[in-house]
Amino acid sequence: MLNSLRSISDFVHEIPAHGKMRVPVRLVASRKMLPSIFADKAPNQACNVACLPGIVDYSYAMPDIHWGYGFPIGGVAAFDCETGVVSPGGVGYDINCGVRLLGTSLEKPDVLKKMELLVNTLYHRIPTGVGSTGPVKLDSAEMKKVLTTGARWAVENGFGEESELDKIEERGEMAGADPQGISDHAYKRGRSQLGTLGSGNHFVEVGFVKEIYDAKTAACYGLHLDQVTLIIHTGSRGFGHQVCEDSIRIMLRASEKYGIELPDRQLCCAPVQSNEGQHYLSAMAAAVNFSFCNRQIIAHWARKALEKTFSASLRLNTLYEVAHNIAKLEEHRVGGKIRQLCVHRKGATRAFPPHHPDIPADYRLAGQPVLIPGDMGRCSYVLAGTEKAMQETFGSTCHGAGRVMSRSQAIKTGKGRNVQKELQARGVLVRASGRETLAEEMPEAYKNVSDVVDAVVGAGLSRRIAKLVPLGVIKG
Amino acid sequence: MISVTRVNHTADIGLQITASNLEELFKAAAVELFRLICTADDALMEKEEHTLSVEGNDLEELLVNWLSELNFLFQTEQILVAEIAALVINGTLLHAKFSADRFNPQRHTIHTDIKAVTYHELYVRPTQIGWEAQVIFDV
Repeated sequence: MLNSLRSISDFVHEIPAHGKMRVPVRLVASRKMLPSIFADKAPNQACNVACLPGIVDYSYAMPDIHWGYGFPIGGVAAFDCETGVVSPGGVGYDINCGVRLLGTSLEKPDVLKKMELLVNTLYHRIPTGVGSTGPVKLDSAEMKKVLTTGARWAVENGFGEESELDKIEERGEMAGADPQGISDHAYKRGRSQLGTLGSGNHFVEVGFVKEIYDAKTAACYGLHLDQVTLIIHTGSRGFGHQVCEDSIRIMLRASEKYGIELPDRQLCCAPVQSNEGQHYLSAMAAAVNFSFCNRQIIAHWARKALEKTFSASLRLNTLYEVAHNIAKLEEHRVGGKIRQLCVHRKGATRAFPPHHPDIPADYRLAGQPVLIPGDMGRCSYVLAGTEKAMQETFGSTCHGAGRVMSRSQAIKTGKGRNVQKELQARGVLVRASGRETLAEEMPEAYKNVSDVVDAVVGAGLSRRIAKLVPLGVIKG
Repeated sequence: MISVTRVNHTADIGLQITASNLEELFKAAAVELFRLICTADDALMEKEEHTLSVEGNDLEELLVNWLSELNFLFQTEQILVAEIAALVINGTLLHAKFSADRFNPQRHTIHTDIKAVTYHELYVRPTQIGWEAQVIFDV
């Protein structure tokens, strides 16, 4: 397939439509990234997505693309709301997995001597690990409020400030959620998981601003050199996983009912306007809200941990929060006409340009902040959305580093090594509940996030604003 | 004759299983699921008896539903399957009787959180000498 690739520019390449593909695949990557991208099945998966009904323009693959299940991770696909489909596989099991970035009033030298204490305090305050449960246990009436009001439920119940809601995608509360359509299994899995980090690649990271690339935008976002920052990366936990599982079962039947040919059953889908499509969107919105609420509670506990370690008077401001596993109904200009589209971003981030009404008023002139976490040992980036992303990728960009090594490969590579000590030698204190998690998540298991960011910046989909370097991480 | 191989997948974990009959295939898949989730440090201390019935539209969906339901029991009630005493497949209906332990951090080491059992590249099919299946877990 690499042989049929046609380069549109240094950073955009096209796999022409072939077989049952309705549109071509557009891959955003530097030339040096191409061999590793074509080493796994992700490009084939992007081609499979291109076969689905109602897909508009292209099936997009971002530079952090890697082999997922059904849709690739790092994919963007928009479907016409009248003629196209919605697919739970285009969002993934971890619905509204996302990232929140907070800026503190602390400077790097303030925290270095207390990093061990801070990391331990965060670790004890925030439940982590497989099947982690938290102290927030809700009855079904209260849970329904969480599912419809998201982060606002958390704020109204003492977890954080009203002003934080302005700095969350969808203001932390996605409309259209229907708690009635949620299964008992999902309620059971979600019941005691609010305010928990989970395992795998989820983390809370303390870092600092190492580099500023655009002083004006960084100032607008409230970032300055050496400022201590906090990143939260997690999602909708077992609740979202179950919502996806339930929806896939419905969509398998729906695909047959509507005569949709599937290159892979995990791509099962239904017309956006069908009962099944609408049911999925309302169940997904409930899981999106569960996740917004989850991160809001974790942010509150992180604030308490910082106050306990340093001073009750320190400030910890939410800079922004993005979702990177989501489907949204959005208006986009296609061929000169405004169209209603169902945009699937699976391992991809919304990156809206300056002046877009969905961006917080404070950032309206700068463009939407885009948060790109890297691996534990290297760095993360703050980017800004651009007009070009709006024109070319439905206002979307990459979401992170993207794996290059399978988990078993990483564990094999890590055998006999102490990843925790290696990271400590690089100035990063890590606490994880599982030793295997550390090996699976070692820096070499991921692409270099700087290469990923160079590609989306090179393609004009985002602007580079700041680089953050980790000092301490807690993981599941 | 049962063989279980882990499939290398960039983000997730897959299994390829072969067995001489369908019941053994489904049993082996369940045993390996729990090996992925955790290992017991000692001989299991407590055993509870459970029964479970699941159905699917076809054998592939049945395999996904069987493993998903077992994962659900672990996720919500910390139930870990120890031994499957009986497993009967009748068309696309499955009935199982198994003994189980409850997760206890003193006796079990957790490895992997299985978010879901996926349909990606899934198959359950007869071979010349028995049955084979492939299933990929989202982790």
